[in-house]
Amino acid sequence: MDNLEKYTQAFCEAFEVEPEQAKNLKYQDIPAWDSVGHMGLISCLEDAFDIVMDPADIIELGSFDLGRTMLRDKYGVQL
Amino acid sequence: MKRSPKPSAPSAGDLLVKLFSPAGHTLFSHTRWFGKRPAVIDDQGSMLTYESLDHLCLAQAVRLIPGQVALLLCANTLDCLIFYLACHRAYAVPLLMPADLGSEQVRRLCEHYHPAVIFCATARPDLEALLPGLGRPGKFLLTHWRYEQAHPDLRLLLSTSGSTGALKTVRLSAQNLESNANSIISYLQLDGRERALTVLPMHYSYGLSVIHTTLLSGGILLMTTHSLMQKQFWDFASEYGATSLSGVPYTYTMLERLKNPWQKLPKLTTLCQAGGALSVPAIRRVGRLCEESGRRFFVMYGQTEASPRLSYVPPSRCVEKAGSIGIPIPGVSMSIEEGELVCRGENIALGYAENSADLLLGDDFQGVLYTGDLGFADDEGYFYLTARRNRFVKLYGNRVSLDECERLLTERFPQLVSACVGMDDRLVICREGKGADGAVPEVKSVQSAELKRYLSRTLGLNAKAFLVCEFDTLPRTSSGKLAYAQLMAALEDQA
Repeated sequence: MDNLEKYTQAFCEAFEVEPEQAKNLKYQDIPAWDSVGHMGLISCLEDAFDIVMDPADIIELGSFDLGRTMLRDKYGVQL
Repeated sequence: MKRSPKPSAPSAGDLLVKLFSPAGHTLFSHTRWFGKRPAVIDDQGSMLTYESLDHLCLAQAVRLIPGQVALLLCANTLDCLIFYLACHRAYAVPLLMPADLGSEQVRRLCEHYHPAVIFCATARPDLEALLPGLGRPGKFLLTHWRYEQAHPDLRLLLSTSGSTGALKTVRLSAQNLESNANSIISYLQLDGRERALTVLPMHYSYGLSVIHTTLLSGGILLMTTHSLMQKQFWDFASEYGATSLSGVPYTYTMLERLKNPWQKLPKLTTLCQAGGALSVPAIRRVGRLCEESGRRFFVMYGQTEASPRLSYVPPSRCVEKAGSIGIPIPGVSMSIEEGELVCRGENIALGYAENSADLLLGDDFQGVLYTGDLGFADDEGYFYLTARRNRFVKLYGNRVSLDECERLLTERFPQLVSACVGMDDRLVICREGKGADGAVPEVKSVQSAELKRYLSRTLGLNAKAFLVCEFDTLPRTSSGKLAYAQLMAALEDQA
Protein backbone atom coordinates (compact mmCIF):
# COMPACT_ATOMS: atom_id res chain seq x y z
CA MET A 1 0.00 0.00 0.00
CA ASP A 2 1.51 3.36 -0.95
CA ASN A 3 1.24 6.45 1.25
CA LEU A 4 -1.73 7.94 -0.56
CA GLU A 5 -3.65 4.70 -0.10
CA LYS A 6 -2.70 4.63 3.57
CA TYR A 7 -3.75 8.26 3.92
CA THR A 8 -7.10 7.62 2.23
CA GLN A 9 -7.59 4.48 4.30
CA ALA A 10 -7.34 6.57 7.51
CA PHE A 11 -10.32 8.65 6.35
CA CYS A 12 -12.29 5.57 5.33
CA GLU A 13 -11.68 4.00 8.71
CA ALA A 14 -12.42 7.11 10.76
CA PHE A 15 -15.63 8.05 8.96
CA GLU A 16 -16.74 4.71 7.47
CA VAL A 17 -16.84 6.02 3.89
CA GLU A 18 -15.64 4.75 0.52
CA PRO A 19 -12.28 5.99 -0.86
CA GLU A 20 -14.04 7.94 -3.61
CA GLN A 21 -16.09 9.93 -1.09
CA ALA A 22 -13.13 10.41 1.25
CA LYS A 23 -11.18 12.35 -1.38
CA ASN A 24 -13.63 15.26 -1.43
CA LEU A 25 -14.39 15.53 2.26
CA LYS A 26 -14.29 18.66 4.42
CA TYR A 27 -14.95 19.02 8.17
CA GLN A 28 -18.70 18.76 8.98
CA ASP A 29 -19.55 17.68 5.41
CA ILE A 30 -20.91 14.44 6.80
CA PRO A 31 -22.27 13.73 10.30
CA ALA A 32 -19.37 11.36 10.99
CA TRP A 33 -16.81 14.18 10.63
CA ASP A 34 -17.66 15.99 13.84
CA SER A 35 -15.35 16.66 16.76
CA VAL A 36 -15.49 13.00 17.83
CA GLY A 37 -14.78 11.76 14.32
CA HIS A 38 -11.94 14.25 14.04
CA MET A 39 -10.26 12.78 17.13
CA GLY A 40 -10.55 9.35 15.49
CA LEU A 41 -9.08 10.61 12.21
CA ILE A 42 -6.07 12.12 13.95
CA SER A 43 -5.38 8.82 15.77
CA CYS A 44 -5.66 6.90 12.49
CA LEU A 45 -3.24 9.27 10.75
CA GLU A 46 -0.77 9.22 13.63
CA ASP A 47 -0.81 5.43 13.71
CA ALA A 48 -0.56 5.04 9.93
CA PHE A 49 2.50 7.26 9.57
CA ASP A 50 3.98 6.91 13.04
CA ILE A 51 3.90 10.65 13.69
CA VAL A 52 2.72 12.88 16.55
CA MET A 53 0.71 15.79 15.31
CA ASP A 54 1.01 19.26 16.73
CA PRO A 55 -2.22 20.68 18.27
CA ALA A 56 -2.08 23.68 15.94
CA ASP A 57 -2.08 21.29 12.98
CA ILE A 58 -4.83 19.11 14.44
CA ILE A 59 -7.26 22.02 14.49
CA GLU A 60 -6.21 23.21 11.07
CA LEU A 61 -6.74 19.90 9.30
CA GLY A 62 -10.14 20.78 7.89
CA SER A 63 -10.23 18.78 4.67
CA PHE A 64 -8.75 15.78 2.86
CA ASP A 65 -6.64 18.05 0.66
CA LEU A 66 -5.41 20.26 3.50
CA GLY A 67 -4.29 17.21 5.47
CA ARG A 68 -2.43 15.83 2.51
CA THR A 69 -0.41 19.03 2.03
CA MET A 70 0.16 19.29 5.75
CA LEU A 71 1.53 15.76 6.16
CA ARG A 72 3.80 16.25 3.15
CA ASP A 73 5.15 19.68 4.09
CA LYS A 74 5.34 19.43 7.88
CA TYR A 75 5.70 15.74 8.66
CA GLY A 76 7.83 14.58 5.75
CA VAL A 77 5.31 12.04 4.48
CA GLN A 78 5.73 11.40 0.74
CA LEU A 79 2.23 12.13 -0.50
CA MET B 1 -60.76 49.67 51.69
CA LYS B 2 -58.56 48.11 49.09
CA ARG B 3 -60.14 45.52 46.87
CA SER B 4 -57.87 42.72 45.80
CA PRO B 5 -58.25 41.60 42.20
CA LYS B 6 -59.85 38.23 41.70
CA PRO B 7 -57.29 35.71 40.49
CA SER B 8 -58.22 34.26 37.14
CA ALA B 9 -56.62 32.92 34.01
CA PRO B 10 -55.21 35.71 31.82
CA SER B 11 -57.48 36.69 28.95
CA ALA B 12 -56.18 37.23 25.42
CA GLY B 13 -56.29 40.97 26.09
CA ASP B 14 -54.18 40.62 29.23
CA LEU B 15 -51.66 38.61 27.33
CA LEU B 16 -51.38 41.25 24.62
CA VAL B 17 -50.77 43.86 27.28
CA LYS B 18 -48.14 41.60 28.80
CA LEU B 19 -46.49 41.12 25.44
CA PHE B 20 -46.20 44.75 24.58
CA SER B 21 -46.08 46.71 27.79
CA PRO B 22 -42.66 47.23 29.30
CA ALA B 23 -44.13 46.22 32.67
CA GLY B 24 -45.07 42.75 31.48
CA HIS B 25 -42.61 40.22 32.86
CA THR B 26 -41.69 36.97 31.19
CA LEU B 27 -38.63 34.84 31.77
CA PHE B 28 -36.19 36.90 29.73
CA SER B 29 -38.11 40.11 29.06
CA HIS B 30 -36.34 42.12 31.74
CA THR B 31 -33.00 41.56 30.04
CA ARG B 32 -34.05 44.38 27.71
CA TRP B 33 -33.01 46.77 30.51
CA PHE B 34 -29.42 45.83 29.72
CA GLY B 35 -30.16 48.12 26.76
CA LYS B 36 -27.33 48.87 24.40
CA ARG B 37 -24.92 46.39 25.93
CA PRO B 38 -24.00 43.56 23.57
CA ALA B 39 -25.94 40.36 24.23
CA VAL B 40 -24.77 38.00 21.51
CA ILE B 41 -21.93 37.82 19.01
CA ASP B 42 -21.92 35.02 16.46
CA ASP B 43 -19.14 33.56 14.35
CA GLN B 44 -20.30 35.53 11.32
CA GLY B 45 -19.34 38.64 13.29
CA SER B 46 -22.96 39.72 13.87
CA MET B 47 -23.57 41.49 17.15
CA LEU B 48 -26.93 42.11 18.81
CA THR B 49 -27.51 44.38 21.80
CA TYR B 50 -30.00 43.39 24.48
CA GLU B 51 -32.32 46.02 23.10
CA SER B 52 -32.22 44.76 19.54
CA LEU B 53 -32.45 41.14 20.72
CA ASP B 54 -35.65 42.16 22.49
CA HIS B 55 -37.09 43.81 19.35
CA LEU B 56 -36.31 40.81 17.16
CA CYS B 57 -37.78 38.53 19.77
CA LEU B 58 -41.04 40.54 19.90
CA ALA B 59 -41.32 40.41 16.12
CA GLN B 60 -41.33 36.62 16.32
CA ALA B 61 -43.49 36.43 19.44
CA VAL B 62 -46.50 37.92 17.66
CA ARG B 63 -46.62 34.81 15.47
CA LEU B 64 -47.13 32.57 18.49
CA ILE B 65 -50.08 31.88 20.75
CA PRO B 66 -49.87 31.15 24.49
CA GLY B 67 -49.98 27.43 25.24
CA GLN B 68 -48.88 26.40 21.75
CA VAL B 69 -46.07 23.90 21.45
CA ALA B 70 -43.24 25.08 19.19
CA LEU B 71 -40.80 22.40 18.07
CA LEU B 72 -37.31 23.87 17.63
CA LEU B 73 -34.88 21.86 15.58
CA CYS B 74 -32.07 24.00 16.83
CA ALA B 75 -28.41 24.76 16.39
CA ASN B 76 -26.31 27.42 18.07
CA THR B 77 -27.35 30.25 15.76
CA LEU B 78 -28.82 33.71 16.33
CA ASP B 79 -32.02 32.71 14.55
CA CYS B 80 -32.68 29.87 16.92
CA LEU B 81 -31.84 31.92 19.98
CA ILE B 82 -34.26 34.65 18.95
CA PHE B 83 -37.02 32.18 18.25
CA TYR B 84 -36.43 30.40 21.55
CA LEU B 85 -36.67 33.67 23.49
CA ALA B 86 -39.77 34.60 21.47
CA CYS B 87 -41.49 31.42 22.67
CA HIS B 88 -40.94 32.50 26.26
CA ARG B 89 -42.11 36.00 25.41
CA ALA B 90 -45.36 34.67 23.92
CA TYR B 91 -46.00 32.06 26.64
CA ALA B 92 -45.66 29.36 24.00
CA VAL B 93 -43.96 26.11 24.99
CA PRO B 94 -40.70 25.39 23.15
CA LEU B 95 -39.69 21.75 22.67
CA LEU B 96 -35.98 21.64 21.85
CA MET B 97 -34.38 19.02 19.62
CA PRO B 98 -31.20 18.94 17.51
CA ALA B 99 -31.32 20.46 14.01
CA ASP B 100 -30.37 17.18 12.35
CA LEU B 101 -32.92 14.99 14.12
CA GLY B 102 -34.03 12.24 11.72
CA SER B 103 -37.29 12.70 9.76
CA GLU B 104 -38.84 9.67 11.39
CA GLN B 105 -38.11 10.98 14.89
CA VAL B 106 -39.57 14.37 13.96
CA ARG B 107 -42.74 12.70 12.72
CA ARG B 108 -43.13 10.69 15.92
CA LEU B 109 -42.57 13.76 18.09
CA CYS B 110 -45.13 15.74 16.09
CA GLU B 111 -47.74 13.05 16.37
CA HIS B 112 -47.30 12.97 20.11
CA TYR B 113 -46.88 16.65 20.95
CA HIS B 114 -48.91 18.39 18.19
CA PRO B 115 -46.63 21.39 17.73
CA ALA B 116 -48.39 24.30 16.03
CA VAL B 117 -45.06 25.54 14.76
CA ILE B 118 -41.77 23.96 13.77
CA PHE B 119 -38.72 26.18 13.63
CA CYS B 120 -35.71 24.73 11.81
CA ALA B 121 -32.14 25.97 12.13
CA THR B 122 -31.51 24.78 8.60
CA ALA B 123 -34.12 24.19 5.90
CA ARG B 124 -35.65 20.71 6.16
CA PRO B 125 -37.37 19.89 2.85
CA ASP B 126 -37.69 16.30 4.08
CA LEU B 127 -40.34 17.37 6.59
CA GLU B 128 -42.81 18.49 3.95
CA ALA B 129 -43.29 14.99 2.61
CA LEU B 130 -43.62 13.72 6.14
CA LEU B 131 -46.19 16.06 7.59
CA PRO B 132 -49.04 16.90 5.25
CA GLY B 133 -50.33 20.45 5.32
CA LEU B 134 -47.14 22.18 6.40
CA GLY B 135 -47.09 25.88 5.62
CA ARG B 136 -44.77 27.42 3.06
CA PRO B 137 -41.33 25.84 3.10
CA GLY B 138 -38.64 27.60 5.06
CA LYS B 139 -37.37 27.81 8.58
CA PHE B 140 -40.74 28.60 10.09
CA LEU B 141 -43.29 25.85 9.42
CA LEU B 142 -46.94 25.87 10.43
CA THR B 143 -48.47 22.48 11.02
CA HIS B 144 -52.15 21.61 10.95
CA TRP B 145 -52.27 21.47 14.74
CA ARG B 146 -53.40 24.90 15.79
CA TYR B 147 -53.90 25.37 19.46
CA GLU B 148 -53.33 23.13 22.41
CA GLN B 149 -53.91 24.01 25.98
CA ALA B 150 -50.88 23.66 28.22
CA HIS B 151 -50.67 24.11 31.96
CA PRO B 152 -50.06 27.84 32.65
CA ASP B 153 -46.81 27.09 34.51
CA LEU B 154 -45.31 25.02 31.68
CA ARG B 155 -42.53 26.93 29.90
CA LEU B 156 -40.20 24.39 28.32
CA LEU B 157 -39.95 20.77 27.20
CA LEU B 158 -36.53 19.14 27.07
CA SER B 159 -35.65 15.62 26.09
CA THR B 160 -34.46 13.43 28.93
CA SER B 161 -31.70 11.99 26.83
CA GLY B 162 -29.89 14.88 25.26
CA SER B 163 -29.98 14.14 21.60
CA THR B 164 -31.98 11.01 21.02
CA GLY B 165 -35.35 12.42 20.12
CA ALA B 166 -36.90 10.11 22.70
CA LEU B 167 -40.58 10.82 23.17
CA LYS B 168 -40.29 11.34 26.89
CA THR B 169 -39.64 14.95 27.83
CA VAL B 170 -39.18 16.90 31.04
CA ARG B 171 -41.73 19.62 31.82
CA LEU B 172 -40.09 22.75 33.18
CA SER B 173 -41.66 25.91 34.61
CA ALA B 174 -40.47 29.53 34.66
CA GLN B 175 -39.80 29.14 38.36
CA ASN B 176 -37.66 26.05 37.70
CA LEU B 177 -35.57 27.82 35.09
CA GLU B 178 -35.30 31.12 36.89
CA SER B 179 -34.37 29.70 40.27
CA ASN B 180 -31.73 27.44 38.77
CA ALA B 181 -30.26 30.19 36.61
CA ASN B 182 -30.07 32.55 39.60
CA SER B 183 -28.42 29.89 41.70
CA ILE B 184 -25.82 29.20 39.00
CA ILE B 185 -25.21 32.94 38.57
CA SER B 186 -24.56 33.17 42.30
CA TYR B 187 -22.11 30.26 42.73
CA LEU B 188 -20.25 30.96 39.48
CA GLN B 189 -20.27 34.66 40.48
CA LEU B 190 -21.32 35.70 37.00
CA ASP B 191 -21.61 39.37 36.25
CA GLY B 192 -22.02 41.48 33.15
CA ARG B 193 -18.39 40.90 32.23
CA GLU B 194 -18.92 37.27 31.30
CA ARG B 195 -18.31 36.25 27.67
CA ALA B 196 -19.43 32.66 27.47
CA LEU B 197 -18.62 30.38 24.56
CA THR B 198 -21.40 28.06 23.42
CA VAL B 199 -19.54 24.77 23.19
CA LEU B 200 -22.56 22.57 23.85
CA PRO B 201 -25.73 22.39 21.80
CA MET B 202 -28.73 24.46 22.78
CA HIS B 203 -31.18 21.53 22.94
CA TYR B 204 -29.05 19.97 25.67
CA SER B 205 -30.11 21.17 29.15
CA TYR B 206 -26.52 22.00 30.12
CA GLY B 207 -25.89 23.97 26.91
CA LEU B 208 -29.17 25.81 27.39
CA SER B 209 -28.32 26.73 30.96
CA VAL B 210 -25.16 28.47 29.73
CA ILE B 211 -27.41 30.59 27.50
CA HIS B 212 -29.87 31.31 30.32
CA THR B 213 -27.28 32.31 32.88
CA THR B 214 -25.28 34.47 30.49
CA LEU B 215 -28.30 36.46 29.32
CA LEU B 216 -29.88 36.79 32.75
CA SER B 217 -26.61 38.15 34.17
CA GLY B 218 -26.13 40.63 31.33
CA GLY B 219 -23.05 38.97 29.87
CA ILE B 220 -22.21 38.31 26.24
CA LEU B 221 -22.95 35.01 24.51
CA LEU B 222 -20.33 34.00 21.99
CA MET B 223 -22.30 31.73 19.68
CA THR B 224 -20.47 29.46 17.32
CA THR B 225 -21.37 26.42 15.29
CA HIS B 226 -17.70 25.45 15.00
CA SER B 227 -16.36 22.73 17.24
CA LEU B 228 -13.30 23.06 19.41
CA MET B 229 -11.45 20.76 17.03
CA GLN B 230 -11.52 23.60 14.49
CA LYS B 231 -9.15 26.55 14.24
CA GLN B 232 -12.12 28.87 13.61
CA PHE B 233 -13.41 28.13 17.11
CA TRP B 234 -10.19 29.27 18.76
CA ASP B 235 -9.81 32.30 16.51
CA PHE B 236 -13.36 33.32 17.44
CA ALA B 237 -12.72 32.74 21.17
CA SER B 238 -9.58 34.83 21.04
CA GLU B 239 -10.94 37.65 18.88
CA TYR B 240 -13.94 38.26 21.14
CA GLY B 241 -12.17 37.67 24.45
CA ALA B 242 -14.07 34.61 25.70
CA THR B 243 -14.02 34.35 29.48
CA SER B 244 -15.56 30.94 30.04
CA LEU B 245 -15.97 27.54 28.50
CA SER B 246 -18.35 24.76 29.54
CA GLY B 247 -17.91 21.17 28.49
CA VAL B 248 -18.76 17.53 29.09
CA PRO B 249 -16.08 14.92 29.89
CA TYR B 250 -15.37 14.32 26.22
CA THR B 251 -14.79 18.07 25.73
CA TYR B 252 -11.94 17.76 28.23
CA THR B 253 -10.54 14.69 26.49
CA MET B 254 -10.37 16.79 23.32
CA LEU B 255 -8.94 19.81 25.13
CA GLU B 256 -6.20 17.68 26.65
CA ARG B 257 -5.44 16.17 23.24
CA LEU B 258 -4.97 19.73 21.96
CA LYS B 259 -2.68 20.46 24.95
CA ASN B 260 -5.31 22.71 26.54
CA PRO B 261 -5.36 25.62 24.10
CA TRP B 262 -7.39 27.70 26.57
CA GLN B 263 -4.08 28.37 28.29
CA LYS B 264 -3.23 30.72 25.43
CA LEU B 265 -6.36 32.80 26.09
CA PRO B 266 -5.48 35.07 29.03
CA LYS B 267 -9.09 36.27 29.41
CA LEU B 268 -10.50 32.76 29.60
CA THR B 269 -10.51 32.25 33.36
CA THR B 270 -13.47 29.93 34.05
CA LEU B 271 -13.78 26.31 32.97
CA CYS B 272 -16.82 24.22 33.82
CA GLN B 273 -17.43 20.50 33.49
CA ALA B 274 -20.67 18.55 33.91
CA GLY B 275 -22.66 16.00 31.94
CA GLY B 276 -21.07 12.86 33.36
CA ALA B 277 -18.01 11.89 35.33
CA LEU B 278 -14.61 13.10 34.19
CA SER B 279 -11.88 10.71 35.32
CA VAL B 280 -10.20 11.57 38.61
CA PRO B 281 -6.70 11.94 37.05
CA ALA B 282 -8.10 14.25 34.37
CA ILE B 283 -9.87 16.40 37.00
CA ARG B 284 -6.58 16.68 38.89
CA ARG B 285 -4.60 17.58 35.75
CA VAL B 286 -7.02 20.28 34.61
CA GLY B 287 -7.54 21.45 38.20
CA ARG B 288 -3.80 21.90 38.78
CA LEU B 289 -3.31 23.76 35.49
CA CYS B 290 -6.13 26.10 36.48
CA GLU B 291 -4.78 26.60 40.00
CA GLU B 292 -1.32 27.45 38.69
CA SER B 293 -2.66 30.02 36.27
CA GLY B 294 -5.24 31.65 38.54
CA ARG B 295 -8.21 30.14 36.71
CA ARG B 296 -11.30 28.52 38.17
CA PHE B 297 -12.28 24.96 37.31
CA PHE B 298 -15.81 23.95 38.32
CA VAL B 299 -16.74 20.28 38.38
CA MET B 300 -20.53 20.11 38.51
CA TYR B 301 -23.43 17.68 38.49
CA GLY B 302 -26.98 18.01 37.27
CA GLN B 303 -29.91 16.42 35.49
CA THR B 304 -32.36 17.76 32.96
CA GLU B 305 -35.06 17.15 35.61
CA ALA B 306 -33.32 19.76 37.78
CA SER B 307 -33.23 22.56 35.17
CA PRO B 308 -30.38 21.24 35.27
CA ARG B 309 -27.79 22.06 37.99
CA LEU B 310 -27.77 20.30 41.36
CA SER B 311 -24.26 20.45 42.80
CA TYR B 312 -20.74 21.76 42.26
CA VAL B 313 -17.24 21.47 43.67
CA PRO B 314 -15.81 24.87 44.64
CA PRO B 315 -12.65 25.38 42.54
CA SER B 316 -10.42 25.67 45.62
CA ARG B 317 -11.31 22.07 46.59
CA CYS B 318 -11.29 20.69 43.05
CA VAL B 319 -8.02 18.72 43.18
CA GLU B 320 -8.51 17.43 46.70
CA LYS B 321 -12.15 16.41 46.14
CA ALA B 322 -11.65 14.98 42.65
CA GLY B 323 -14.26 12.30 42.01
CA SER B 324 -16.93 14.06 44.07
CA ILE B 325 -19.99 15.74 42.55
CA GLY B 326 -19.58 18.37 45.26
CA ILE B 327 -22.01 20.22 47.48
CA PRO B 328 -25.57 21.34 46.65
CA ILE B 329 -25.91 24.64 44.82
CA PRO B 330 -27.73 27.47 46.66
CA GLY B 331 -31.42 26.64 47.03
CA VAL B 332 -30.97 22.87 46.63
CA SER B 333 -30.76 20.28 49.39
CA MET B 334 -29.40 16.78 48.84
CA SER B 335 -29.65 13.62 50.92
CA ILE B 336 -29.06 9.90 50.53
CA GLU B 337 -32.24 7.89 51.02
CA GLU B 338 -31.94 4.12 50.89
CA GLY B 339 -28.69 4.55 49.03
CA GLU B 340 -30.16 6.86 46.39
CA LEU B 341 -29.33 10.53 45.92
CA VAL B 342 -32.49 12.61 46.44
CA CYS B 343 -32.57 16.34 45.69
CA ARG B 344 -35.03 19.02 46.68
CA GLY B 345 -35.44 22.56 45.40
CA GLU B 346 -37.44 25.03 43.34
CA ASN B 347 -35.49 23.90 40.29
CA ILE B 348 -36.97 20.39 40.29
CA ALA B 349 -39.13 19.94 37.19
CA LEU B 350 -42.91 19.69 37.20
CA GLY B 351 -42.71 16.15 35.83
CA TYR B 352 -42.52 14.22 32.58
CA ALA B 353 -44.62 14.30 29.40
CA GLU B 354 -45.04 11.81 26.62
CA ASN B 355 -47.77 13.52 24.60
CA SER B 356 -49.80 16.68 24.28
CA ALA B 357 -52.37 15.54 26.87
CA ASP B 358 -49.62 15.43 29.50
CA LEU B 359 -48.94 19.13 28.96
CA LEU B 360 -51.96 19.93 31.12
CA LEU B 361 -50.48 18.11 34.11
CA GLY B 362 -49.41 20.14 37.13
CA ASP B 363 -46.51 19.71 39.52
CA ASP B 364 -46.05 15.94 39.79
CA PHE B 365 -42.59 16.00 41.39
CA GLN B 366 -43.47 18.57 44.09
CA GLY B 367 -39.88 19.73 44.27
CA VAL B 368 -38.37 16.30 44.94
CA LEU B 369 -36.14 14.45 42.50
CA TYR B 370 -35.14 10.83 42.94
CA THR B 371 -32.01 10.93 40.80
CA GLY B 372 -31.56 7.20 40.25
CA ASP B 373 -27.91 7.70 41.17
CA LEU B 374 -26.58 5.70 44.08
CA GLY B 375 -23.99 7.33 46.31
CA PHE B 376 -22.84 8.62 49.67
CA ALA B 377 -21.66 11.82 51.36
CA ASP B 378 -18.34 12.33 53.16
CA ASP B 379 -18.02 14.01 56.56
CA GLU B 380 -17.65 17.44 54.95
CA GLY B 381 -20.92 17.05 53.07
CA TYR B 382 -19.37 16.33 49.65
CA PHE B 383 -21.40 13.83 47.65
CA TYR B 384 -20.00 10.91 45.65
CA LEU B 385 -21.81 8.72 43.13
CA THR B 386 -21.15 5.00 42.91
CA ALA B 387 -23.61 3.56 40.39
CA ARG B 388 -26.85 4.15 38.56
CA ARG B 389 -30.09 2.51 39.47
CA ASN B 390 -31.50 2.77 35.95
CA ARG B 391 -30.10 1.60 32.67
CA PHE B 392 -28.46 4.59 31.06
CA VAL B 393 -25.13 5.22 29.42
CA LYS B 394 -23.46 8.60 28.90
CA LEU B 395 -22.22 9.04 25.34
CA TYR B 396 -20.29 12.27 24.81
CA GLY B 397 -22.30 13.86 27.60
CA ASN B 398 -25.66 12.66 26.29
CA ARG B 399 -27.67 10.47 28.58
CA VAL B 400 -28.90 7.63 26.40
CA SER B 401 -31.50 5.21 27.66
CA LEU B 402 -30.49 1.63 26.90
CA ASP B 403 -34.12 0.52 26.97
CA GLU B 404 -35.00 3.18 24.42
CA CYS B 405 -32.19 1.93 22.14
CA GLU B 406 -33.45 -1.62 22.41
CA ARG B 407 -36.90 -0.40 21.47
CA LEU B 408 -35.53 1.49 18.45
CA LEU B 409 -33.70 -1.60 17.23
CA THR B 410 -36.70 -3.88 17.64
CA GLU B 411 -38.90 -1.41 15.81
CA ARG B 412 -36.51 -1.10 12.88
CA PHE B 413 -35.35 -4.74 12.76
CA PRO B 414 -38.33 -6.76 14.03
CA GLN B 415 -36.65 -10.10 13.30
CA LEU B 416 -33.59 -9.37 15.35
CA VAL B 417 -32.98 -10.30 18.97
CA SER B 418 -30.70 -7.75 20.57
CA ALA B 419 -29.81 -6.13 23.86
CA CYS B 420 -28.02 -2.90 24.63
CA VAL B 421 -25.61 -2.41 27.50
CA GLY B 422 -23.22 0.36 28.48
CA MET B 423 -19.51 -0.23 28.87
CA ASP B 424 -17.46 2.78 29.98
CA ASP B 425 -18.45 5.46 27.52
CA ARG B 426 -19.62 3.15 24.76
CA LEU B 427 -22.90 1.48 23.95
CA VAL B 428 -22.60 -2.18 23.12
CA ILE B 429 -25.26 -3.75 20.91
CA CYS B 430 -25.38 -7.47 21.66
CA ARG B 431 -27.07 -9.34 18.85
CA GLU B 432 -28.25 -12.85 18.34
CA GLY B 433 -28.47 -15.01 15.30
CA LYS B 434 -25.53 -14.40 13.06
CA GLY B 435 -24.16 -17.77 12.07
CA ALA B 436 -26.27 -19.68 14.56
CA ASP B 437 -27.89 -22.81 13.20
CA GLY B 438 -31.51 -22.41 12.33
CA ALA B 439 -31.35 -18.63 12.15
CA VAL B 440 -33.95 -17.24 9.82
CA PRO B 441 -32.48 -15.65 6.69
CA GLU B 442 -33.88 -12.21 7.54
CA VAL B 443 -31.92 -12.21 10.76
CA LYS B 444 -28.69 -13.19 9.07
CA SER B 445 -29.10 -10.50 6.49
CA VAL B 446 -29.14 -7.73 9.10
CA GLN B 447 -25.52 -6.67 9.06
CA SER B 448 -23.89 -5.59 12.30
CA ALA B 449 -22.59 -2.44 10.62
CA GLU B 450 -26.17 -1.59 9.73
CA LEU B 451 -27.24 -1.74 13.40
CA LYS B 452 -24.43 0.56 14.37
CA ARG B 453 -25.17 2.98 11.57
CA TYR B 454 -28.88 3.02 12.39
CA LEU B 455 -28.41 3.89 16.07
CA SER B 456 -25.71 6.41 15.26
CA ARG B 457 -27.96 8.18 12.76
CA THR B 458 -31.13 8.01 14.80
CA LEU B 459 -29.48 9.25 17.95
CA GLY B 460 -27.28 11.75 16.13
CA LEU B 461 -24.17 10.46 17.87
CA ASN B 462 -20.87 9.52 16.24
CA ALA B 463 -20.64 5.86 15.22
CA LYS B 464 -17.51 5.49 17.36
CA ALA B 465 -19.78 5.40 20.40
CA PHE B 466 -21.25 2.04 19.34
CA LEU B 467 -19.90 -1.49 19.34
CA VAL B 468 -21.60 -4.62 18.10
CA CYS B 469 -21.00 -7.99 19.75
CA GLU B 470 -22.32 -11.18 18.28
CA PHE B 471 -23.76 -13.98 20.39
CA ASP B 472 -25.26 -17.32 19.39
CA THR B 473 -27.89 -16.75 22.02
CA LEU B 474 -28.21 -14.00 24.59
CA PRO B 475 -28.18 -15.11 28.24
CA ARG B 476 -31.60 -15.11 29.86
CA THR B 477 -33.07 -15.58 33.31
CA SER B 478 -35.41 -18.48 34.05
CA SER B 479 -38.36 -16.20 33.39
CA GLY B 480 -37.02 -15.51 29.91
CA LYS B 481 -35.89 -11.96 30.62
CA LEU B 482 -32.50 -10.83 29.41
CA ALA B 483 -29.84 -11.44 32.06
CA TYR B 484 -27.90 -8.21 31.89
CA ALA B 485 -25.44 -9.07 34.65
CA GLN B 486 -24.45 -12.27 32.84
CA LEU B 487 -24.24 -10.38 29.56
CA MET B 488 -21.87 -7.83 31.09
CA ALA B 489 -19.71 -10.62 32.50
CA ALA B 490 -19.54 -12.30 29.10
CA LEU B 491 -18.54 -9.01 27.47
CA GLU B 492 -15.81 -8.37 30.02
CA ASP B 493 -14.44 -11.86 29.31
CA GLN B 494 -14.31 -11.06 25.61
CA ALA B 495 -12.56 -7.73 26.25
